Amino acid sequence: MADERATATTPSSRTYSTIGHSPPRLDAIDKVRGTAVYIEDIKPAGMLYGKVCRGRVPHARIVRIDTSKAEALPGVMAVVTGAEIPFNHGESLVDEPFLARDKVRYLGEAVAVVAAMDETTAGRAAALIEVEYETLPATFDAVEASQPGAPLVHEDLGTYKHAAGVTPVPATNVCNRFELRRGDVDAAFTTCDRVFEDVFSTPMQHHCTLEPHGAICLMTADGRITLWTNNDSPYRARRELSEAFGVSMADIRVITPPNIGGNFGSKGGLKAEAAATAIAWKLRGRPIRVLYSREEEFASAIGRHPSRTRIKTGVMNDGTIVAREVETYLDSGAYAEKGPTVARFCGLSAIGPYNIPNVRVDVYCVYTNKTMAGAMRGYGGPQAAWAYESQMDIIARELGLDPVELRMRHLYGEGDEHAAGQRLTSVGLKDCVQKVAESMDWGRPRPAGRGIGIACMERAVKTPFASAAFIKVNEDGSVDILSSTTEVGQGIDTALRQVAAEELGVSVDVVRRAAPDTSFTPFDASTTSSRSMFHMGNAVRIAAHDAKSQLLQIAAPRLGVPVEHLDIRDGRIAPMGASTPSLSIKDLLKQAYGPTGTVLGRGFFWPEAEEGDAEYYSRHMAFWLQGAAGAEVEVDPDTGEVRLVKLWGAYDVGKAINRVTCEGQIHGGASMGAGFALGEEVTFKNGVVLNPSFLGYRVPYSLDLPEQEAILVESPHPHGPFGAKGMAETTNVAVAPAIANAVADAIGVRVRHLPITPDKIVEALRRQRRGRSPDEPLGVLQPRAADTSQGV
Amino acid sequence: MAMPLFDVAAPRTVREACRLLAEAPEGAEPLAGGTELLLAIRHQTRHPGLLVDLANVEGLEGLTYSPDRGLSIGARVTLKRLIREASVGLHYPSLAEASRAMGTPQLQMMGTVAGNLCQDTCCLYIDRSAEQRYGLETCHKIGGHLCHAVGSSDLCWATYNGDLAPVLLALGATITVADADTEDVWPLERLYTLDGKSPLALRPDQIVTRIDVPPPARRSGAAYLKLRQRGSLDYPLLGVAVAVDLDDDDRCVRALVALTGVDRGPILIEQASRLVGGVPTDERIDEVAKAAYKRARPIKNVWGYSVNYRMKMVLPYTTRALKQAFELAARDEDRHA
Repeated sequence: MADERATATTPSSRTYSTIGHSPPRLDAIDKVRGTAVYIEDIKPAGMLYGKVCRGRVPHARIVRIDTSKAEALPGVMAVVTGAEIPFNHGESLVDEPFLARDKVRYLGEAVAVVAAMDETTAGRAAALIEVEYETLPATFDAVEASQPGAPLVHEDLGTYKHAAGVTPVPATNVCNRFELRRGDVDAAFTTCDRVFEDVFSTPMQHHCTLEPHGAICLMTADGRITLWTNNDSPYRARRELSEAFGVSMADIRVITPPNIGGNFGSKGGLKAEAAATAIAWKLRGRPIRVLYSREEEFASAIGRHPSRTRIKTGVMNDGTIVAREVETYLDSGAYAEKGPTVARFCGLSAIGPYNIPNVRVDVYCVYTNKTMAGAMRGYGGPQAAWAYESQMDIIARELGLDPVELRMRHLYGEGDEHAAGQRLTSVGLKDCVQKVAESMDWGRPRPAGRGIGIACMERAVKTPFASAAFIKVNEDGSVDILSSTTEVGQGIDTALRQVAAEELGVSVDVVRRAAPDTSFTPFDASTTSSRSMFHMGNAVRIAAHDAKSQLLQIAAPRLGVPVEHLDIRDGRIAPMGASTPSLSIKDLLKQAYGPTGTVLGRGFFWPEAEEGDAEYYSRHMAFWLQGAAGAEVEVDPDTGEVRLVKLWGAYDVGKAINRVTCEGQIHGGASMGAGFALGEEVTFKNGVVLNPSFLGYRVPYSLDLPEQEAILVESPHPHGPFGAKGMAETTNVAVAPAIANAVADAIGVRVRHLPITPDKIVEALRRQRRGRSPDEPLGVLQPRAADTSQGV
Repeated sequence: MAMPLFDVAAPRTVREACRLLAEAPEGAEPLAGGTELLLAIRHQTRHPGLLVDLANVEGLEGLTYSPDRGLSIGARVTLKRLIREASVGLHYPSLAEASRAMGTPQLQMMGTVAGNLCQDTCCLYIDRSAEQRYGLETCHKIGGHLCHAVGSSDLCWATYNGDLAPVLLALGATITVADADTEDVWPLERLYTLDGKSPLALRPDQIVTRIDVPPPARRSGAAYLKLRQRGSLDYPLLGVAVAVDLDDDDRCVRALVALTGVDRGPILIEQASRLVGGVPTDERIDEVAKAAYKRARPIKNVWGYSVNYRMKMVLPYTTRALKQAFELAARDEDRHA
């Protein structure tokens, strides 16, 4: 296998036939025609409709559940409650029951599931379930919840199973604590010239995928499970079910539809899957579907962790940064979900992509009685970057330094040692910053009321995790890719088809990719963490290389040419450099498919860390996501309203496999970052989500987004397929601080607590007029009042 | 989340429609575009047993303009038609602007003028499905006895945030209100009660059938400015509509200012009349803006910016709207002939 990889990943000097081009996406055609298949289009015969009955209080003991009225409703087939399905699930900390047992921990938690002949009946029945609660004291703020004496969300935290590298603190609400240490921070703070200390916060952001969570579960009487789901990671879903139910993996088949309507991290873990399997556990032999409503998406799925960060930086008068200390509290809501690993990734990048000799980072992932937070594009990165990139500009302004220059002096370069200990390779950071600065004409003065800002970022990719792929060459020369990466709108289908076509020497038009099905498509850890292009890209390339070798072996005796002299171009096998007649794959297999058997290439990719790391998650990453964003804004001094004039983004993609898709990622990321900056916030009052709709939750629409410039920086990665790295989660992370820095540049006002709404700007301008600091009050990292409603 | 059951009737005349509304034992509601009503039924904040669909009712679709009679708008004319109709854009630019500023193209296709005028008041604590109201006790608006937004209040403070009402108030519009036997013309102002719980003065058996807007004066100007978080979809966090007329010496002869989104109904600012008789100076405009500021009563019950901010924005928004309208009037040269 090592040899295969060495061969497959040797950078090729030839010009590519499809890599770096932008062949049209097949799924785009389906989507435009309305023929794309999503979970809602899948209706196995005899399917029933499930509906979840949800808890009505943020924290309470369940005294009694009466399902009799629901069960008596004509058309209702079954009702299941938590007591009947005593299992838990969880990504790295197994803390979440399939349905609430004994108590509910947030308002909107699943308490029971109804299956009925139609959706309306299921909904009516769910509303007829009576639950008696004994209210418990609740906690709604992460910092407050982390203190001794706070009401415990999970009394049994110490007994939960968890992955290596996750360190829950028993008898508290801290479900993971992450630390990073380098050098001597205390000594550096005493010897440096200036110390900057700020507190920043971010609210819960929501993924707003157009398609909600959905799953259909069929369980047979003898316990075999088929699960259709729009989960991003079918193999992980299978493992979680297998471990929860104690069922063999061979008895669980997880199928994802060919299209998933948006992910951004939201569709990992078990959401609708938990409810669908719970009811299918009770009612065997019928497929049962659970599809979330938009309100359930907002109140009972996941969002981005709200955060509060204290960041303290020691600087010399010439701007040299000598120490940085970061303390971050992430609000996980009622369950850990992916919070422990979000905390880890947030901590790994908490000081920013900078060479700083002395570092102390502490990140706490804390339970509260609120809607869960989990994975979301950037995975702790946006919260971290909001603090470190806002503060970089505060430092630059205070010391009279140019913000770009201050960054350039500290950014990681090739061969530098990351704060977490890794020697870095393929580092395009400085290129990204420079290209953004050039493109936005950084030195040009802007008219009054306008301002520009820049910010950069890094983020880890989860390491080490495996991907596998098969390449099947059919009798007519067409090619199937079998891989369990899910197409969630990111364009991976087309990119993998390009990788296979390039490696195999065929046209991308003859390559198709099957939808994931754990019975047929091989293992993949997950479609998360911006890992698919790199990991699955490698697996597909290796599999294609294997298939190509098999084809050449079959062709060699027929062409009378030694195999090492053969190559495939445009679907034809020919001796390299010779004018001898060539043979198409189609003609070859027409002759040979019977006698030589099928052509099935196998590929497997596992990133090897520079040095062994005993932890489940390594601190040495397969690659780092890197990039920079720029923003130009116009601020109305009377109303505080911010108009985005233009956004820039330059991200190091290693090698753009599909340019249009890469640029699309940048546009999409900029939109998500702009929303995070200027308006998006899930607001709560005593655990109630106050804005569970697109009317109340202000995700930006097309009219709210400005012209954008997407710049692709290519620092080839030695282990990436054709040099490619992941890039999806670079694109939103630096946008909010870039906008905040532009606002500060425009009117001298610094907003520290997202979102940057005009009411905060007007308030800051008022302070400025009265001769006080225009910056938002520093704030201290103290618990806020129990009522955490904001911006209502 | 399941849609509650209800009956639908499809009358052909106004008289028949009003009779159905009057006789429904479980309560009835007229259905026009349905963009608001159907959602409210789904959310179980309104519980009509019968919907009286106005789609087939004769005489509700007309849209005509004449220089001497002005604009006549049938109740079921859609917002999209107002946007597309050239005479509206030319003679009543603020009306076209307010329609464009509303919702999304899909909602503009379905939503009607009378439906918009009869929009219910909103409150973030109740505008959600019954499932999602859990954790929030039943408030005044839906039959309870408390207010989540104004803790101690005995009243419902749900906010009125229709976009067309302030514009049509400023333009001096009248509405025709019909029941099974009679037809009556009301000044638009009479439609609004300023009661959050029941914001409309209509009896259950009455419907609005037509809206009439007087012809614009030779030198007239109007504007609608809407404070919102996004360029589409959002309700106004504050809306300011103004309409002014100038004489040939640039003296103001008529000035009306109306606000939306900052009280339980649209509100006319009486002090706007102080502009009349003089040249509209910055001081006079400022005086009216201050009067509007004093009259506004925003409540923490809509999604978006702080109450303090919405209040403060009445000043620049009113000032800007008045200036914009006066500029338009000063430039106005017989567009309306």
